Amino acid sequence: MQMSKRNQFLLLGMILLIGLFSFPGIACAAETSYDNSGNLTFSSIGLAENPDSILGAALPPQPTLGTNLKLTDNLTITPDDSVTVKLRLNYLINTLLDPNDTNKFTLSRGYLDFSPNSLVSLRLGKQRLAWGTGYAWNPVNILDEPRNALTDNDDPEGITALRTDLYLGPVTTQIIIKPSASWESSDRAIRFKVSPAGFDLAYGLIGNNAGQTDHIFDFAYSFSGIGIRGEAFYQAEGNWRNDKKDILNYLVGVDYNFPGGYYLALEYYHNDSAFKDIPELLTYIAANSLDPITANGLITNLSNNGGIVRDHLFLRAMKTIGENFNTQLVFIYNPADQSVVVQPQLEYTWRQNTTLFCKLLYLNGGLNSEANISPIKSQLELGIKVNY
Amino acid sequence: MKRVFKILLLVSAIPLFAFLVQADLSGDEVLAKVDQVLESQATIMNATMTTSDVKGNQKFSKMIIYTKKSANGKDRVLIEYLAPAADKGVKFLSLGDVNQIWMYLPKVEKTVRIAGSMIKQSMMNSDFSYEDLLDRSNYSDSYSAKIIGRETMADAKCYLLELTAKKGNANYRQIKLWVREDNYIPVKEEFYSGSGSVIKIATQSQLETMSGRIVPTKITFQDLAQKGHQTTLEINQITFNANIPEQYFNMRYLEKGK
Repeated sequence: MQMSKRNQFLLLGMILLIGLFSFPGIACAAETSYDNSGNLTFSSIGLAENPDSILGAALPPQPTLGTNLKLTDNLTITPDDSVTVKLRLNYLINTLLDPNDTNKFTLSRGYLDFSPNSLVSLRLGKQRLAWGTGYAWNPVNILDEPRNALTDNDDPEGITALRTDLYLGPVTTQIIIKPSASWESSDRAIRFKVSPAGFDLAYGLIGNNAGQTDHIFDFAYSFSGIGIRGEAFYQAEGNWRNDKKDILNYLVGVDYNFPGGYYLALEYYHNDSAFKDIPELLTYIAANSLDPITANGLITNLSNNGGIVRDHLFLRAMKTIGENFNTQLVFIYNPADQSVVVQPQLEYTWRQNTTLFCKLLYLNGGLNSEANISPIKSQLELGIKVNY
Repeated sequence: MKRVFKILLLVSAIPLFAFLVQADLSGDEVLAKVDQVLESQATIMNATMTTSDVKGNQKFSKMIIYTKKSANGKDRVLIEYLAPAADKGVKFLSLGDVNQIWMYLPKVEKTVRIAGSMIKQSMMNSDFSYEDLLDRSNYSDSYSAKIIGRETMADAKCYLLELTAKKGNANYRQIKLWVREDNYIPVKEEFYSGSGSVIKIATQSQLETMSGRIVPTKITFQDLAQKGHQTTLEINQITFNANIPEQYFNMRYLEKGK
């Protein structure tokens, strides 16, 4: 059973309060150190609706021009060497979103980390696990909120969980409990990670809230200068629409740095848990939950509802020009329906803490293709980001 | 030499008393002296890195660098960025092998293994490559040296050494190294590509006494492929034979800072 946002927030607050007062002197320790940082982003967005969208017009209709203001603040409190409290607060005003949701405050991180010795640490509260080695997608990272494949440092909300890290010899073991209304409906996971001879290897088991056991595996390796990585998620007799079938989602990827500062990453993602029949999607949810900033909400939401389709190829090319310019091209291709998502991006950094950016997003595809579902055809975003 | 960092340590490891000039030393012996003065089991360094381009635009980074030898003699390095705000908290960990390097990204709270091809790329848009800062093997392990001249450089008499790579995986095919005769501190280095052209130049200056040793507190690095571009590393504080806990060089510390 999923907890509502409100209940999650209350749970988090309780956890933090319990944590703070469970450790004598934490809140008022004389040696407590504080660290605060964050950024402010403002952008203007123009978009063109997709006249061929098979979902029809979004409800309510999307405006074609809008603004986005996002403030992110990170506060880290360290009462002593063994305890850390971290809060990440986001405040978002987005005039392109649902009018009921334009003004949004979220706590994307809020946890207490307790590390009494070098062998064990506990983390309680809203956090991210960030499992997996893939750049665009992480099929093994199924307990976290999905990440945006188009944005390299996307910061989704954390999940409320109790996490234990054990450092025994070369093996790091994570034990996770993501609570729900009852123990049976809570997600439980254990994951082992080792780094032998240049490899990063991880294997885990997840007991999910449907009573099934998922297997996850990921690796990373560098061979002749080429970064090689992969991930796999396997569920035997998983729920697939009204049927049962084995589900295997996997990703393989490579990246390489070419002389002259060119960087290229390529990933292939296969998603077995997808529906094949797009028109049977929960179209209302899909159409109204779109993230108009990146249109990735389409992919995310369809994925959450079993709608994202089959296989995807991801390409990212980057090149820094001179001292201040950074260019990037992201390209996502769905070979099954020939649809594409293209996102070129240009950034100019001024005085190290201020970045001007320009992103263009374009989707194209034939009838019933993934791009054909989107109510957005193209989008241009101009903005400024200030770090402090 | 090869990397700035190494130079640093090199230099820094020099005791306050000067070495006697030994005019009849061979190139390999001089290089061994350089390695000797470099010797340090564990070092903590606070530094400011300044990059500047042909138009005079400058960028500043502040960082703290921990180095410590492992039980099998490998030099492990942990670098943490303290500034600017956009890079604050970014960390690099090297376990003394080009295939054992990770980067921690605090914004997404994720550790990424760095592809080997990145090792020769510019580090955070500076003139240093990742290799220059993270690979700290001894000169003598990777290069053989011969004395090809004596010159006065920065008001000091110097040996001019020509270093030739012993192995194919050395950072540079050839290096010209100017070493002070009085204390074996490197003053200048020129790094050569396989085709024989100079690709980078490093100079060390502003000798000061820190942590009981003479240290060149300013190292300037130029990657000649970036015309008019240069990077200066200024040492604000350095501690030799520091007591660095072993746990600093594992994934846990990289991700959690404790």
